[in-house]
Amino acid sequence: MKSALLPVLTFPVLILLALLLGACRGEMERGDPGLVLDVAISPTPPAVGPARLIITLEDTAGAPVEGAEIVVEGNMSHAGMVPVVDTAQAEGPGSYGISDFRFTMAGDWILTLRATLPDGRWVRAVRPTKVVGRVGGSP
Amino acid sequence: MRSPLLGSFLRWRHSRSVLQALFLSLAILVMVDGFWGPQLSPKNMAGVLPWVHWRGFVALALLLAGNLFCMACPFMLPRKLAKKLLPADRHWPKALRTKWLALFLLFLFLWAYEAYHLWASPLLTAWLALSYFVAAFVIDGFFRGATFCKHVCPIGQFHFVNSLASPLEIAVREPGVCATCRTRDCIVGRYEEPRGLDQGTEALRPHERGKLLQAGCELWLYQETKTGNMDCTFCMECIHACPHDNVGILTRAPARELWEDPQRAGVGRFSRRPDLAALALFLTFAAFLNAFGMVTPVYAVEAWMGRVMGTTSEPLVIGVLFLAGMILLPALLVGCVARCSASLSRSGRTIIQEATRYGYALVPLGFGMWVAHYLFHFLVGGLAIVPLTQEYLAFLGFSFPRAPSWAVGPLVPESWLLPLELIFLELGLLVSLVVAYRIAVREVGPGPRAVRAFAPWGLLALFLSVAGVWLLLQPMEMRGTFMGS
Ligand code: SF4
Ligand code: SF4
Ligand SMILES: [Cu+2]
Repeated sequence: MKSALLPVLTFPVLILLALLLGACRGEMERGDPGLVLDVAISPTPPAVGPARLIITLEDTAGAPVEGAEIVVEGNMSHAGMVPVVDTAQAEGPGSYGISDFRFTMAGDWILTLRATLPDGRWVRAVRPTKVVGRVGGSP
Repeated sequence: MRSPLLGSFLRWRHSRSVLQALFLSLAILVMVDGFWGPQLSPKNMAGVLPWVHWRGFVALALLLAGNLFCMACPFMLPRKLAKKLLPADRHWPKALRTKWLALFLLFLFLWAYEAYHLWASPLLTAWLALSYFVAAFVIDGFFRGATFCKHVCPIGQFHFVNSLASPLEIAVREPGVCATCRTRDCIVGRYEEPRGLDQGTEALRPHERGKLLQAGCELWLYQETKTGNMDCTFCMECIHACPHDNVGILTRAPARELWEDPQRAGVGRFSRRPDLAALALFLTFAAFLNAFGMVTPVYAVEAWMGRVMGTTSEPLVIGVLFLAGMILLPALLVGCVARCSASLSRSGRTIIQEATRYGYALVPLGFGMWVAHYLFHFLVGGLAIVPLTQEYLAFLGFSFPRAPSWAVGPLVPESWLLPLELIFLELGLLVSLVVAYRIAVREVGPGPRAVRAFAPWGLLALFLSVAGVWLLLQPMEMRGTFMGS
């Protein structure tokens, strides 16, 4: 039967495709376990508009790590909202900062920080953050 | 079908299978990534493809063409397989041959979306898609025809209702040809053995006619009396089945079918289908509640309701909120309006009869709101698929000169978004007003009586559109963190 041929043929192709594409794309990797990346936000909780991010990078012994390039990406929990991406400036030993990280909307944000060292080591940290609205309303 | 390139593609009998295979691949991609990919919605196909692109595509397709999603529906290929593997010979119970079940499922779907933050959870999105495949497979595997599409599928009902305002329709080109046609292949299908009627003999039953070469309409819409887009999945079976090439995708005056009330094949008269009117009204109000779910004030309302109800369970609070906003409040409002309209115009009809006649007038307004909302997400996030695909390909081993840049902006300048949304909403209002008035004229004749019959419905539409404008002006707020780790 001609009309059945095509759908029947596509099935194995699709299954193959699926296995190829997704099978092992797991959670995002966290990078070098010897590095500890953390962030504090001021004000807490942050409101819509600019916020200050204070970022620290240490090794597991607590010694500050310098010279890293740190990129912060803010995503909303809803896909397809324009993300906010910014690069931190070094402010002291093991301390980095972004003075005006602009939260564009109230709601649940996920900050993804990635620090890369000149020697190629890197570490990623993910921080869910609640951003409150500017105008009233928020319980 | 007349445009040269697209037309010849659509005329090719496998065009639909190709579209379906494409969408099926995307659906599989969504499920695989949803189940096993990173649980951060913007970085997952299951967060981006369904909630940004699929909804935007559906809205645009309905607005500019017709029910194109059903045409390319990914659930159809597995369903075709089910028809081969399983008996598919049962009749759907008579009591369920309405839209009530689908309406309930639609409510469930919208509630789950909000209560469990489906937009923020690739995993739950994947489960939803999987359960959809299973449901379509099982139901159409045991029941005849396109039972799932016609009586169950909540997504399909969304398309059916909103496509009433679409500019395209599958229809007969030349009514005269149908009048002389004796085979009715568009509804019974084409088999190896001809039906026999042409030879002047007794018609053969389908099972006496050998193999089915081309199915007829599985939604039981007989072309000669089919009117409008209700229940039509744009599957094009009828187009391929008609031996006279007399069925096509034709343009028409959008929304006109909302005020006309003929006997429709496979549907009946709109004015005798309270279930259909309820579905149309439900979808209209749901458009506004669905948008309400993503502006800041909703959280104050939820918090207040939680306090009053003495609960912190969000699903419960949202359940009550949606029950009130999508069912009780609409029933009350529409009831009052129908009552006023009936007594002002002295039509002598009951509230149900009146609402079943006029309820369809609100469809364009609801549609305008859906378009405004879904197009917003699509215009803001349409480009997000680019870095995501890039990352996906990189994961598969393809290399790119540059790392994916996630900082993509909206598809149109941000300042256009609000005006665009308002245009769609108000366009919907305008069409709704026209439809309501035309219905009134058809019901009670032109003149002051029609104006009186129309006025309450016009006011309701106006009230809803004001609510819509208010919604669009609210600051947005999107919660629902769902971290897999
Ligand atoms: S009605 Fe049928 S074709 Fe349309 S979305 Fe549902 S399952 Fe797919
Ligand atoms: S076969 Fe039925 S559902 Fe399919 S396009 Fe024709 S009328 Fe519509
Ligand atoms: Cu939304």
